Formats: sequence, structure tokens, C-alpha cells
Amino acid sequence: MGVAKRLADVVVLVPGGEFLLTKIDYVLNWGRASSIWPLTYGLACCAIEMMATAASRWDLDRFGVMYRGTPRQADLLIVAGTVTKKMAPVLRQLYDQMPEPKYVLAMGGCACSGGPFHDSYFVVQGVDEIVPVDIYVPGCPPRPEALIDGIYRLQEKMHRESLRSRTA
Amino acid sequence: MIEHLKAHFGEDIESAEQVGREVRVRLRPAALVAVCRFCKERGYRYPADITAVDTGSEMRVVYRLVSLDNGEHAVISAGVPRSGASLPSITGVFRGADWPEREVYDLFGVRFVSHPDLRRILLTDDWQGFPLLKTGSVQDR
Repeated sequence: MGVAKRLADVVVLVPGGEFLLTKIDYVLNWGRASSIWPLTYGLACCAIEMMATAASRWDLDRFGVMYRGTPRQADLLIVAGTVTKKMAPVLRQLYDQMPEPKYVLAMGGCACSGGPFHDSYFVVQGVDEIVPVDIYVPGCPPRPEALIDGIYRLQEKMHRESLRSRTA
Repeated sequence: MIEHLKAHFGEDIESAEQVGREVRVRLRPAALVAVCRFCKERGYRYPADITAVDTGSEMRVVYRLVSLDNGEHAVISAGVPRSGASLPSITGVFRGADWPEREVYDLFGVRFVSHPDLRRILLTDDWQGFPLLKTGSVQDR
């Protein structure tokens, strides 16, 4: 996968074999990155690809990614689709309701930059106007492989974090 | 259908033609509700869509009624002046016209008299102006 480090790099066996030493950062990041629970936030055609990614053909479950129907249980917000100005306050409220640490993945052209609705009178020109975005996945809509790649990138970002500073 | 309409409403029907399975009727705003009721009684019971066209000289509000009995469409349109455009609401005939009329009001600024709840429906409540007008301002994003 390229995400998890080789065990030998982060684990030191204490002679005798009853204990091992490792870094708390590694353990926390490993746990965090291996059980990403995204909030189901599908707004448009990207949502169909997001659903397909979770279904059996691409099967996000094997990376520990399980969709949640409430922001209280989610640590990733996948914004899949076009955010209108009327929807923007709802998006912000859902983001605010998520517990820390939390991440945002902008899926598709609309969520990244407004996409085909560039300069539209009622479409938010990228969700980074409302919430801080960690990962941008371009495409219209992105294929499931692209979304999975975005989640890989997020896992890599999580692995760069430390207890000393949140920012990777 | 066209003969019936002309016989009943005479001068209020500006023009009427049959195109394929569509009856296209242009009429005076005053006859709108009566014509809608007339069509409903003759099988056009499904108001499929209400929209408007800003032609630059007038605002033409278009009603598409569908007959579920034979699949025919009746496309009824009424022209009103662009400034202060207003039409009688057909919610008294078709209850389902409530939201489509709100949408036309929201985007084109056409006021529907005696509509039960004429508020904006797609845009935010504090929106200024009507974005689908050919002239006039769209507020800065």
C-alpha cells in the first residue's frame, strides 16, 4: 500500500521478546488512518461515484472506510457534488458538528472550484470558501479509483502528523 | 380542442395551433385560470411544468399541461409586461402549481396573485433581484 511503514522501521523488540517499543505517533496515526469514517455528503452526480466506491466492486470497507449518517461519528467530510449558496450554511454546520480531529475531502470539480458552474450566481466556487479542505480530488465526476487515491493521500497526510503539532 | 377553446374563449385566445401531439395556445392573462380549468376538465390534469421566457419585450409565462388519458400536451402561454409582471395564480385549479409558481417568481420576478405562499424557493431569502432576467443585475458572488 505504501501507506503503512514497514514494521521494522517503527517497532523495536526488547531482548527477551516480552515487550516492544514503538512511537506513540505511529500507533495513533496508524489507528486514525486505518479507520476513516466519512460523513455521507453526496449532493450530485459525484455522490453516485462515492456510493459505487463504497459498494462491492471497489469496496472502501477494506481500508476501514465506513460511511456514517451523522457528523457526530465522522472524521472525514467527503463533499461530493455541487454546493449552492443555500446549502453552504448546512455544510458549515455539519462540519462544525464533527468531532476533532477532522478532515475534508473535496470530490469533483464543483467542490474543488465550482467546476462547470464557474462564475455562476448561486454556486459556491469551491468548498474551501466555507470549510478548510485537506484533499482535492478533481474529475467530473472522479472515478472511484480517483476517490480511493484521494483517501490514500489523506492517509499519508495522517501519517505525517504528530502529537506535538496537528499540521502535517 | 382548439375549436372548443376558440368557441369558449373567443378573443382571449390570441393564437392556437396543433403541433404533433401538442396544442399550443397563446392567450390573454385574464383568461388564464378559466382556460386551465377548461383544460383540466377535458383531461389535461397533470401540470407538468411552469416556466417563463424573457423575450426582452415581454415576460411570457408558459404552462405545460399533460393529459394522462391520451398523452397529449397543452402548452399555454400568457404574455405580461416585463416590469411588475403579475399573473393570476392557478393554484386554485392545480394545487401542485404552488412550487413551480414560486420558482418562476424566484427566478423571473413574476408575481402570482392569490398564490397561498409566494416566497423564494431556490434562492436564499435575502437574495436581491431575479437572476434569469435578460436585463437587470445579478448580485456579486
